[in-house]
Amino acid sequence: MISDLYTFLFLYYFFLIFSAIVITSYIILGIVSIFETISYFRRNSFVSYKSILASPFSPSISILAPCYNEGLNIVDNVRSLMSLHYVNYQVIIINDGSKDDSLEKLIKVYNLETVKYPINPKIETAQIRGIYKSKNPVFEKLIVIDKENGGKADALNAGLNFSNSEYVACIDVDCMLIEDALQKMVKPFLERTDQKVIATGGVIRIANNCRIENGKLMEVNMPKKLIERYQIIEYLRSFLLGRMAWSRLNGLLIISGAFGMFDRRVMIDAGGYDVNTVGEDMEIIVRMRKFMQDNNRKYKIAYIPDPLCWTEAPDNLKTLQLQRNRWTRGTIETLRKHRKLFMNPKYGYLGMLSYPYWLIYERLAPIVEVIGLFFLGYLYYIGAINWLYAWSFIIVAYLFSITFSMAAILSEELTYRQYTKKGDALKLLVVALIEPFTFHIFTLYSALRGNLDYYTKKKGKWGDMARKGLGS
Amino acid sequence: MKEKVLLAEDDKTLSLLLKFRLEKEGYETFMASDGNEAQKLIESSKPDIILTDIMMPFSSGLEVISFVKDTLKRDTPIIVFSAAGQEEMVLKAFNLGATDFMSKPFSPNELIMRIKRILMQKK
Amino acid sequence: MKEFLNDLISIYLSLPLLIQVIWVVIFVELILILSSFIHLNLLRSRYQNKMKEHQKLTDKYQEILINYIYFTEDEIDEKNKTTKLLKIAIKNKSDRKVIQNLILTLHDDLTGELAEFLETLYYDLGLVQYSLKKMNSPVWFIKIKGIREVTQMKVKDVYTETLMLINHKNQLLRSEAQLTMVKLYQFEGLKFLDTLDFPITEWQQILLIEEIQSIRNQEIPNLTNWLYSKNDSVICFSLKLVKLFNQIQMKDDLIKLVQHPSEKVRRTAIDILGYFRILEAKTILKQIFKNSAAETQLFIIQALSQLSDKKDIPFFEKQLNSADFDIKKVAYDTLKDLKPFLVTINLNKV
Repeated sequence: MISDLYTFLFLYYFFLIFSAIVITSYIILGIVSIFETISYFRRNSFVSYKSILASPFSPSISILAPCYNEGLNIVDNVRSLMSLHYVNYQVIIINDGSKDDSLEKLIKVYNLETVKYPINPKIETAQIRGIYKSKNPVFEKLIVIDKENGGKADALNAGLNFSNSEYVACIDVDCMLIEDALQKMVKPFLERTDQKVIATGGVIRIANNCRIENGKLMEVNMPKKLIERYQIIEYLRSFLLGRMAWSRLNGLLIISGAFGMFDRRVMIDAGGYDVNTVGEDMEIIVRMRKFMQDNNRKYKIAYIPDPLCWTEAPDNLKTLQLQRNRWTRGTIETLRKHRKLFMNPKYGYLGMLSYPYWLIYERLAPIVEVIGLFFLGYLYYIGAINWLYAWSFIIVAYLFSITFSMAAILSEELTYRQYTKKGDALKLLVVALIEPFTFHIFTLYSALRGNLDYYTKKKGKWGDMARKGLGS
Repeated sequence: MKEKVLLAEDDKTLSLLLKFRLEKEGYETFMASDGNEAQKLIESSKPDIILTDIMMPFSSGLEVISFVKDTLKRDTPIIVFSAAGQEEMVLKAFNLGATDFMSKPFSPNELIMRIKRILMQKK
Repeated sequence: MKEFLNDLISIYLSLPLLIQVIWVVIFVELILILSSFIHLNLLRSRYQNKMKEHQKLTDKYQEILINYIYFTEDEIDEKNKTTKLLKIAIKNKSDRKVIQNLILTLHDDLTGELAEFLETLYYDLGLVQYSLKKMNSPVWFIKIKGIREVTQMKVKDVYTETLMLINHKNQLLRSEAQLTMVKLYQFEGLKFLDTLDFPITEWQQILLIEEIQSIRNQEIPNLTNWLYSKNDSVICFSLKLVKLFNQIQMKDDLIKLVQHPSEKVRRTAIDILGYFRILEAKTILKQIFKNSAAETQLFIIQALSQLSDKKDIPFFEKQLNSADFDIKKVAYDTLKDLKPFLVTINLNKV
């Protein structure tokens, strides 16, 4: 009986303290994020990006976009990428052994012919089958690398090997970039004199139900399904109330694989992408940071809150589960691979703040939460629930979730206000109200499955996100 | 018969200004605010001269030039304007068949002079 | 009623401390949620209205302005009437903003007669006063707006105020002031490089060069002093100017800079030596090659490939074995040019 009591008290206090820290950290991150976003907004609201376009000294950028079975939309996506307003850039599409007609379509529409180019074998990749350029000078920016299938990371590495630009923008090929994306993303690299900026991350916006014509964003609409709207709130919270703060603290551990810009040389020196993980976007950032610190070089990873990249989000539970499952496994793999960083003072903020936080509040939190719920269930079962306590906790947590979502919606309204139609905010609010006992539970479930799959070594890579296609 | 000018420019105020000026000089003006609209108008209205900005939504001015020279196979003179210094784009524009180039910022007076000269040469 | 409240309060006070705290938090959360909801709705409706207003005003003044620009001599009465109308409109903040914005954006795209016309109009309508007021604001981003407007409209007597901001601790103010100096005073304006303590970011350098490129009278100042500045970024910037204006006569200074303590300065100087094809630099470049960092070596070999002749073949052949692929490639390409009949090496399978 005594041991039961001690167990109970231990668990009770553990959950209490854990939750208190989670809530406090969210609040701190939220507040810092808001200030940082507003500060960024102020500093950049009157910047003219015209000069960088025309300058003979503007840095060279390569867009690296791996393509696997994207035949449905590859032509439009490529056209969209080639009409960005930057001048000194090229678009490198890496066909990762597609089994459909992606390559054929590209060759036909863009008048491609094979060319001979030596490739830097610095990073090992799957076999390159050929390199293509267009005969038509209008499409001079386009290069297509055809290779054997090796996965997204492998394809990106092939692109890295080929490119000789100063900076590379690694994107998902079906991500729609707005016209000024490149100059906005490259600016942080050019603005610091005391530290080297090695990577810049961008905000990912959800394109579902938005009107896209000819590869340009025409109209921003609220998506129709609740599951899509839920992801909007999630992304807003995560980007506007989370990542901006981490960027300020120089503690960012992840830049979305959908859109990020990197210093090419540092990326190659750090070893390029890891092909053995499903979370290559997080892993490369951690490794690049470690690399800079190992070499005693001052660096920064920046973050831009401007909506520059629009992508299609999963619109059904199955695909969402696969995506979150993969994110979970990616996080676990990355944290495990770099466990040397944990509480290692040699790595400063990276080891003492970012890594532990990510470990406890990103990786372990779902598990703790599930155990907490089971604990609660157990107490209910044995009739030992103190309803006063239980309800109080439930209500404060529920309201906290809503408060946080409101803060995210409000921040968006005060800055970029992409959702301008009447009733948009209300739609988001409704989702925020039902989220904690619907989608949140689902996300927990996906995270749990991710853990399970990781430990049972189920090597399901990316899953097949059946493409609806942008603009359809 | 009034000569027809097609103006493709996405800055509303500027295009209104140019339209006013062109109409004062006796040209019939057609306006497009992006590459797609421009291509449609070029096809339907058959202008005698085309003025286009290089960087516009939906398709660059380069595509407009290519559309006129390669697809429609017309020899309509084309004047391109854009922010100064984009040498690469300018060279491409000429390679594709552009007739003249004016860098922004520009003087509308000079633009009119060039239009007159080009249309005269055509005759 | 009072009984009920009293009961409530005594129940509350009898609760354990933790629960009391939690219910305070709940109360705070409810207030936050409610107020953000109200704020959100207010913001949205206010914004919608503002946008509609703004569009209406823009359309209205756009037409007035364009007509005004093209008034002929016979329409002088119309012209005066419109001037009066505009002058009165300026007093109203939202009208003023729209008119100001229209004039500024139009002016951005135009030169010549029309641009000067707009500048005069800006003065005549009294908009200059508002811009100067902004420039004297203690808030930095308002100051910058003011500086911009004043600069664009070529208001000449702001030399002293601008000069004061050159070494301001706010980086954006500094940058804006520097740009203004160049926009208004052309090459004379670059004098700030003599006394600049802070570094100039790459971004800022690009902006400055854009401005410099549009200076009509190309009497390039003497860049020598700046090449020996204590401020490394000033040296880099001047090197860009050397390259831009083809100042080949500075070759001796360039050669000296190849051994400057700053890595960036070295690389830039090396790049320009190759670009200018300064043969005298060959010896020193070969000398420092061995002990330079890998990235610098790449710059050196790229420069050398512009300067080499058949006597240098051994050097490049040696570099074919370099561990760095990029260096290998440059060596290979150079050898192809130097001995065109010996195409023996296959860099890799592709």
